[in-house]
Amino acid sequence: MSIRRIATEEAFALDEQFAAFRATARRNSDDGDARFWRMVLGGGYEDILGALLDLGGERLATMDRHGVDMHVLLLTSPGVQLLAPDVGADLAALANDRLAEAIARHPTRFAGLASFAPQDPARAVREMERAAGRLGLNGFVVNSHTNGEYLDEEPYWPILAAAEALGKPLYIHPRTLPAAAIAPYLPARLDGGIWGYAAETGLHAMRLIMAGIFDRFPDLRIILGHMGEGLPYWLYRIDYMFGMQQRRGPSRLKLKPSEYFQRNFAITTSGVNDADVLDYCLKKMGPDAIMWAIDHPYQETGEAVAFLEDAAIDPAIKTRIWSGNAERIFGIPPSDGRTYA
Amino acid sequence: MTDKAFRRIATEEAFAIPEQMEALRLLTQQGGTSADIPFWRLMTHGDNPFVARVHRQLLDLEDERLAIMDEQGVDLQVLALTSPGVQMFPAAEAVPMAALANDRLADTISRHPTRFAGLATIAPQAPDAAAAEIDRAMGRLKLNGIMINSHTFDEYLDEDKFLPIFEAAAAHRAPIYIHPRAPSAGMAQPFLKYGLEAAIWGYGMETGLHAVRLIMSGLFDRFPDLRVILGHLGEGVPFWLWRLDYMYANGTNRPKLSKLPSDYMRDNFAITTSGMNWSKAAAFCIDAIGIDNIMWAIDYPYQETPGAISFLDGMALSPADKAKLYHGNAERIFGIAPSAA
Repeated sequence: MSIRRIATEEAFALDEQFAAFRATARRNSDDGDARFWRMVLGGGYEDILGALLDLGGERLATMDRHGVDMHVLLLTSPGVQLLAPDVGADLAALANDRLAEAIARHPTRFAGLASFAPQDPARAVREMERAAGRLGLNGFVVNSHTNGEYLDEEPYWPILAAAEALGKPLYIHPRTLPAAAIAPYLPARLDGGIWGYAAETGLHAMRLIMAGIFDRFPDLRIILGHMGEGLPYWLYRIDYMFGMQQRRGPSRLKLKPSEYFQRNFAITTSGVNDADVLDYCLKKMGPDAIMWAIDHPYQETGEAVAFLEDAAIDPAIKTRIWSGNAERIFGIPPSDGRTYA
Repeated sequence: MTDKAFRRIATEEAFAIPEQMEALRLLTQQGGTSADIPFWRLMTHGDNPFVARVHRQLLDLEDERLAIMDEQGVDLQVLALTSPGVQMFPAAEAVPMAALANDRLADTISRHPTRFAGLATIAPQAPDAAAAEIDRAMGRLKLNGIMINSHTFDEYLDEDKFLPIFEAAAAHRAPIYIHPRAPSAGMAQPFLKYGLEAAIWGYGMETGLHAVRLIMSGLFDRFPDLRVILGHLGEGVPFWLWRLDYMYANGTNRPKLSKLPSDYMRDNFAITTSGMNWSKAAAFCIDAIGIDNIMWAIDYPYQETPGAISFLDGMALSPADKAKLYHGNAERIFGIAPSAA
């Protein structure tokens, strides 16, 4: 009997998104993600682009080849967040419709997280309600900052309130740093997956915690990829320094930072196929807060499968990482019992 | 001194000289945009008990400090001028102040040669003068290495202008400790809202980025025997070694290195436990970069000596491994004479 494998941070794209990136990349010349997409769309990356656009044949074949039962799909970063508010909101709705259609065609193979345009918070909330309601999607995705702003800022609170009220998790996926914070990452090209994505996304998570977002929205569930974007490594020091800050003035928070991290966050293994890091995160986060992910098509399915297959951890815990936690957190119905040879 | 099984050498211990504190007081009074200003304004203008204690203990070298060391069973402190050293001052002021600090440090060590060792302060903003000061500090003053507090006027040590510093360090086989300070101007803005620019998050992000820049620049191919030391269990870098290697190997637009990033971390770095009194993270680092590359530290007077001792005393390690962390690695890396006892 094989264990169901649900990969939880798997990217797709739309032609319309690429067209919008082409249009906006010329305007947002100082945005790091616009630069990235100008490069990718400029040629030489047709394999990645094709894999992102594919929501059927070759994606399913790759999944079958490696015994991956399900992809939790999300519109590739930075989603619609580079675009003008109305253009972004329209594209998010289109992407969610396409995503729901793909899931309807392959309900045992795909689940999905809904996009929205944070640059229009009121419309974002309406789209979240539509996506969680009529479209039946499994949560939401935001790609870190939007125009250099973070979700702890008050204009974005309705988005966090909606995620909490709808009872669906919000995946904060990386993108590169905003123009105001990217300069020292550029000389050695450290602004991407090698370092800057995590610096950006980890800071976003820290801002949410320190802003008191989880006192305001105690049932909000945030998901971070890449083994928690570094936060698990630092929890001791974060709590210690938080304690020092408290000695200088009254606390804004009801709990210690690490307590919010353990209560309100889950993490995925995307892009960090390192069994020692997994073991470390298990010790700190416990067995119910970690989900397996590949980051298809940016990283290799076979490597991600082999990593968790080979990890020397308790089989019952491993089952939760493969799929049990994803079923619970994303509301994915339990397996129909289908197994792979 | 308390009964104990191991010589205890603490390797990231801060002191200040009155001239530095006065210069920081004037600087923060004038204001400015450096992200280090809020903390140092508090430290030089604040009147709360934490500030008063730390200020007093930074300036004290031979009274309260030695008494606390005796009481807690700390044999030797490796001293360094507190961050940001002289790196916020104009070169004309910084160069003589570094020399003055090093003279005072050498005097103190000569009075207590079994209780103190020291890392020399330099002014990277004057690279040739800094190189000359390294010659003097490692030669006539017989100090044990160099301390640099991350960026200098928003520039990082991988830039060509700083080569004389590495050439001088290589000539003397002097280890370079890269100590945190707040993020440089090019990245600091999103840290500022909740005080995240300081030790709770920003110091690690700034200093980790600095280390990764050094690795990616090829510095360690140019200086293969160079040893860089990072505090705070490696400023997060050990957590990311798998991903650094993966992204480096799959990247096409960075300088080619002769080894993988993680190889440099094991071959050219050492890390200390300063501010990370957490056995889970320390155990992870022992696996990630090796027991011979890790040294015990307190971060006196910013952090408490008893917590640093109970952390390492409580770790499940063999006596031989514990001896390496408490003193053996520091003796080897800093050239500290083994204890006569």
